[in-house]
Amino acid sequence: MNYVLIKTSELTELLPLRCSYQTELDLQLAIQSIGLGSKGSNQTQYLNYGPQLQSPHLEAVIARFLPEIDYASLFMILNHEKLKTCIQSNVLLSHYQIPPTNHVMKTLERSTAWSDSTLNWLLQKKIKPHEISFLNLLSAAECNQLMESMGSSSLSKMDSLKLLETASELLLMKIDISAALNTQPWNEKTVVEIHALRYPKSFTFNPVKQIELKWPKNISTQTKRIQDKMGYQVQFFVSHPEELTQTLSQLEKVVPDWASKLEKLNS
Amino acid sequence: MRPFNFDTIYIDEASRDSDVAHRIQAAFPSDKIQWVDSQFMNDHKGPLSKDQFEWSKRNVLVTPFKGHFFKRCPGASQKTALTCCNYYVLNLGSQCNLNCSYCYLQSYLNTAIMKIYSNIDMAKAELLDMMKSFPKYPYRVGTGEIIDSLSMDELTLYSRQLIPLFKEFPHWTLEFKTKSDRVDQFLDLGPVENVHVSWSINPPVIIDSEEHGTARFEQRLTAARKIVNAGFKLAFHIDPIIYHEGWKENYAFLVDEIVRNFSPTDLKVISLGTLRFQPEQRLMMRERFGMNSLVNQAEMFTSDSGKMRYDWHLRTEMFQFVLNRFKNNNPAWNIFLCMETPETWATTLNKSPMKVDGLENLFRPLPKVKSETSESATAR
Ligand code: SF4
Repeated sequence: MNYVLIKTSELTELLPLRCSYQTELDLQLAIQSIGLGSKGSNQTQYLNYGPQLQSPHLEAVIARFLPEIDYASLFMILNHEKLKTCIQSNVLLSHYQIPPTNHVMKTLERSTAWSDSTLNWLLQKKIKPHEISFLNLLSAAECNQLMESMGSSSLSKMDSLKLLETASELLLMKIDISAALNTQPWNEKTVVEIHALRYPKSFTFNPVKQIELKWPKNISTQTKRIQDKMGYQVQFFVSHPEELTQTLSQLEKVVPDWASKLEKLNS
Repeated sequence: MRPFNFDTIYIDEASRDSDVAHRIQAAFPSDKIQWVDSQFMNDHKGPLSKDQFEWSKRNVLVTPFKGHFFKRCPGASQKTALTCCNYYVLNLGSQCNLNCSYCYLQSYLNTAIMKIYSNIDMAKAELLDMMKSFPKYPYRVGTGEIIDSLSMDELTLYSRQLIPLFKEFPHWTLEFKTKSDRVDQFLDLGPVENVHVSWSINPPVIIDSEEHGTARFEQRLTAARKIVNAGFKLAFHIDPIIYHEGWKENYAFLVDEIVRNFSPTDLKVISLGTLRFQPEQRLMMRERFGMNSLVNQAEMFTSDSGKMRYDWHLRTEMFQFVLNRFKNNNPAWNIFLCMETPETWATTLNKSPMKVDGLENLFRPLPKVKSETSESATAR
C-alpha cells in the first residue's frame, strides 16, 4: 500500500526551486485549492497522502503548486525516494502536457547537469522535453555542450529547435560543426550556416531560389517559405480600380517569363 | 512454407480452436509457442520505445479482434488537405514482420506486440453484410494498412478465405498490398478480375538500403508476373519515392523494368507517393536506422496535413519525372498520386483526380460503413 507522510516544508525544500512558486504558503494554497487537508502546526504541517484519500492526488497538488517547473526539478520529484512510491510519473507528466516516454525521462535526467540559466531558458521558451528528445542520440557531453550554448542565445523557439536538431544531425553524421558554432551567442546567421552544412544542395531543389524574375517597379516581392512550399510574397498598393487593373496586367506579364524560365530549368 | 523469424508465438486461449492456431501448432516447434490469456500484453499504453518496437516485430500474438474490422482508410479523414481515393481497410492483424526505415507504424502503433486476428469469420461476416447491402457500389478494400497483406499469409491463409467472397461481388475490389513475394498459396484460385495484388516498389538501391526483410526487386517482379499469369489484377505503388543521390537514374531504371516486364493492360493502376511521415517519427527512424539511411538525404518540411514532406517543388519534379517516363513509353499507363494535394495533382497530371480517365470511381462518394456511422454517432 502506498502511503506517505510528507512534511510540507520537506516538499518545498525538495524542490530547489528554480521556479517562482516555492514558498510554503504557496504549497498550502495549492493543497487547499484542491480540497486536500493538511494537519499539524505551521512548523510541522503534514501532507497526508494515501490510497484512503480518493481525491485529490499528489500529482495534482504538485502541478498546482508548481504550474511551471524546470526539467531538473521534475526529474528530482519523479525520483525522490518518498514521492516516487506514490506518484505516477505518467499522471504527473500529463499535468504538464508531456508524454511519458523513455526519451522524455532521459532528457529530464540529463537536464540535471545543465546550468540554471539553461533550465531557465527552457522554461522561458516553453520548450517541452519531448521537443528536444532528439538530443538523446548524442553523447551526454555533446548534448550538454549544445544546451549550454543555447541557453545564452536570443533565438526564437522555432529557430532554436531548428538549430539544435540540425546541429545534432550533423554531429551524428560526424560532420565537424565547430567553426559554425564558435561564434557566441548563437544568432540567425548560425542557423543559416548550420543549415547550409546539413543541406548543401537544398538550393538546387528550389526553382524559386534559382530563377530571377523581373517584377513591375511598383511591386515589392520577397521569397518566402510557408511549410513545404517556397514562393513569392507579392505586395502592392492601389488606390483606385484602374490602378488595380493596371497593376494586375503588369503582373500578368510575369507569368510567361516565369513559365519559360521554369521550363528551361527543368529541361 | 518458407521459415519465419519469430522469437515466440503467443496464442490467446480464446483463439485455441481457430484454424490459424492449428496451423501455427503444426508449423512451429512447441517451444516457440506460449499459451496466454486475453489480458496478455494488454496493459501497455502510449508510444513504444525503440526496443519495445523491435521486440514487437519479432513476437506475435494470435488473438480475436474486438471491434469493427472494416474501416475507411485514414487518408480519407484528411480530405481538406489531401486528395484521397475511396479506400477501405480490413485489418486482419497489426504490426508487420518486415522492417522498412520509413514505415509509418513506427509512430502509429502503440500495441507492444504484433497481432494476427484469429476471428476471420467475424471479418467475413461484417464484409458480407456490407456487400449484400451495397452489391453494386465500387468499394475498394485493402488488407495491408497496418500489416503487410501477404508476408504472413502462408501462415494464416486468409487470402484463400477472402478471394472466393469477392469473386461473388464483382463490383467490389479486394487489394492485397505487399512487399513480400509470398503468393503461391492462392494462385490456384485465379482468375479473379476484382482481386488486385499490389506491390509497393522502389529501385533496388532503396529496397536494399531501406526495406529490410522484404522481397528483393527481382523477387517482387517475379511474384508480380505470377499474379498476372494466374489471372489477378496487378498494381504497383511507387511509394515512397525517396530522394537520394542518383535518384533520377534509379527511378528511370525502375520504370524501365516495369515497362519491360509488363504492359498497361497487365496493370490496373500505378500510384505514386513521395516520402512522408509524422514529425514524431523522426527520432525513432534516426534511432533505429541512423543518419546514413537514405530518408535523411533531403530536407523535410511540415505540410498542411501535419506530416513531414519534401519541398513541394521537389515532389512535383519527382512525380513529373516518373510520370513522363511512363507516358513517353505508352500514354496508356494509368497513374495516380497517393495522398497528395489538389495543386500537386493539377501541376503533375494537369487535371483534378475526378477527371482522370479510369479513376473517377475511386473518388465517387460511397455509403458509410458501420464503423463510420458508429464513430459519428459517438462524436455527436
Ligand atoms: S512492409 Fe509496410 S508495414 Fe511492413 S515494415 Fe514495410 S512499410 Fe511497414
